[in-house]
Amino acid sequence: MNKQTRLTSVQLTFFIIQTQIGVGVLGLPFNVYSASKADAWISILIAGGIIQIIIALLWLLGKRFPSKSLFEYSKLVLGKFAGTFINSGYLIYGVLVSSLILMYSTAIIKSWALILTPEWVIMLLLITPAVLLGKEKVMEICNVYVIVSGLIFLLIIVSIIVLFTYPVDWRYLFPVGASGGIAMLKGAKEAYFSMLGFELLLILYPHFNHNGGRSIIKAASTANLTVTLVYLFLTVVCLVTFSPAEIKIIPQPVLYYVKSLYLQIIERVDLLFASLWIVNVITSLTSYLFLCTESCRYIFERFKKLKRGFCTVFWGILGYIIALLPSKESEMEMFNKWVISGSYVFVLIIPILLLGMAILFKIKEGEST
Amino acid sequence: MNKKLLAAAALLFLQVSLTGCWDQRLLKNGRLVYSSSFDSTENGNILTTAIIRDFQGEFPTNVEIQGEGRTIRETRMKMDRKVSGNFEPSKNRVFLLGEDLARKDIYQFLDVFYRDPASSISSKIAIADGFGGDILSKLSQKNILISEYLLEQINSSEDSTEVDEHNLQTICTIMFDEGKDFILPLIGLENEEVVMKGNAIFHKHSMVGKLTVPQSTLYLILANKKSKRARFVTKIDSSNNLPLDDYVAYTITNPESKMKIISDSPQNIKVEIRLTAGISIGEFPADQLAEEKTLKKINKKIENDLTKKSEQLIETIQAANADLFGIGRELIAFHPKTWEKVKWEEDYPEITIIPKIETEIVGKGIID
Repeated sequence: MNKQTRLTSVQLTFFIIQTQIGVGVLGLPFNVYSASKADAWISILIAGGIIQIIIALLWLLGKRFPSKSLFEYSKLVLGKFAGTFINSGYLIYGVLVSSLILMYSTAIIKSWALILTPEWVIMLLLITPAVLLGKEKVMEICNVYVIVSGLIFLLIIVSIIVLFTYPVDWRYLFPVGASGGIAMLKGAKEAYFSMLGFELLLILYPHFNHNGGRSIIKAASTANLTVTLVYLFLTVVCLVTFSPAEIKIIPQPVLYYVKSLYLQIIERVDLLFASLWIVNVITSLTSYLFLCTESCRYIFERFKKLKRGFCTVFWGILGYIIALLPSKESEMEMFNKWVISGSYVFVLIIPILLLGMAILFKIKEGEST
Repeated sequence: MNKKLLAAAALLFLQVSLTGCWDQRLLKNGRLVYSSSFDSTENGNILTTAIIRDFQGEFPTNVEIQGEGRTIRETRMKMDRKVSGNFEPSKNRVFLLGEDLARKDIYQFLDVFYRDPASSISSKIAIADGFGGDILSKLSQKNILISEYLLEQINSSEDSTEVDEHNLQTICTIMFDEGKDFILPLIGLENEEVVMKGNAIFHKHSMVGKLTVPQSTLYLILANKKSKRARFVTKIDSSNNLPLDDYVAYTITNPESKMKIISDSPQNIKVEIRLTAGISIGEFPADQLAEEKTLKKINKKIENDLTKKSEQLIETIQAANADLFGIGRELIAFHPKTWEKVKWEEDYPEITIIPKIETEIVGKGIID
């Protein structure tokens, strides 16, 4: 048996896709619709475009330090103290996003399928596979991601069936552009939240460096394009199946249109759909735990004995506990708001800052060391 | 190796011991409801009649239970107390709504089905001409498989283009659409038989009128919703010796209907519905269909008859203020400026809808 020893750029594509598609996919059309109405699909395209620009920025940053992780060159650029500070920031960000994913997916599972099952059980079932996978190396994670990506096709196939069996009305997409530019941008902001995950490029870059810079930007762009198209498709299906006033009261429209399907063999297709979706949730969770693990490893570099697996378990449990804390929906919303605002800092501001300083002070890998 | 074996054993144990601890719903504890009807009583309450499948030995039987309450959920709770085991309405395939209840806001009653994740929103919904509970009781005396009976009746009517293909979810979409209305099958009792009487017209959330079966078929053809078959009968003469010779029965083939807004000025909205269809004659006792002239004559008569009936149909629909053709939606999508200026609720009955029908005889069976 040939064992693969070098990561390919295709694996990078799947890594990013699986991180981006997660808990948000079910609610995305609803969230975007509440901002930009029938033009929700335009918002998604705008969001995809904006993210493409951010990906290009992250790539430029990675290219300056091709064999180094974000956690290494942050120290190079800002000095040891500030670098460690930023690295800890990413660690906290990873933990918080993990708990956010846990909270939201558990809330959806609880309201759709497992009504009586206690929250802690569902969360435990979600976090356990994520921790087990997250403590592995990039290669192992990638292999799993590539395999489970087949499930995304199933999600799309089910949606196509809906498109053909449900009496859809394409007129719900018209008039195009009625919501106005500002609403469309607001919608794009909503879509951006569900597209988070591309920031993993920051720490994945050195692992894929041997493929060359060009293939990395290609892989990341392919991932972004795929995710944008999948979201675009799901949103359009939602827009044409539900009437405008109806969509406003359905927070998980993707699950809801699947529920209205009646196949001879299966009564509740939504449960089947949800179980496929859970895999996508777990992969996103895994990616963020992987982020925590990587950052933890660099922060506590000097403790040579500290095992990689221990980091993942520790931060996984912390994320689990944080996810259990908020009991009310309003608290969850608040937590969501914080994390989302935090994401701007970690996805946009810090990378731009690092890139700016690196260019300004002409710091490049190899020169300053 | 030992470690892996141990892990596998532990996983196997977990798998067996942790299956559906909290959310399991065992079939043996559930009492499955197959069809139910909702009526409004004199004092404003809701009366739910549910048919539960039971087994006496090997043979399935029907058990009818009723519950009265202020909301559907309340009647359900009351019925749950009447049956042994858990009342399980998630397999319900047909809902019947009594006419009195349908004339109120039906969304209020149906809300519970849209909200409950376990309810089957793909089930059929029909209106009872009169009291819904009576129809179920009648059927439960005669028929063992009530919901299958109703379901088949609705399905076969769908196939012959007599009722629109709707379920609980699809009507929800239209109820929330300000530019569209819908029809639901109307089932009634006639001489102790349960028959399809036509359709109930809905506007917004409530029933506002009725369509007969031929009217329903014509509407569905005009709205481009022809199913497998669509049959009509037209009276073309009144002077024949044998009364049956006066009639021609035919099916519509390949109908194509286009709705066009020919004037969108808010004061004078004009809509044209143009239908082109093939006619395949299925019954014409007077014969002599070989002659080109006779064919043309019959075709002309059918065309005029359909046009006249369409005009009557449109009158009925507009009088009921039900926008069954979705003209409002067309305005929202392609004439948004007009839509802003009209008060659809008041203006719709006043707009002009012109049916234009062109037919062509394309078949006459295997004899002339």
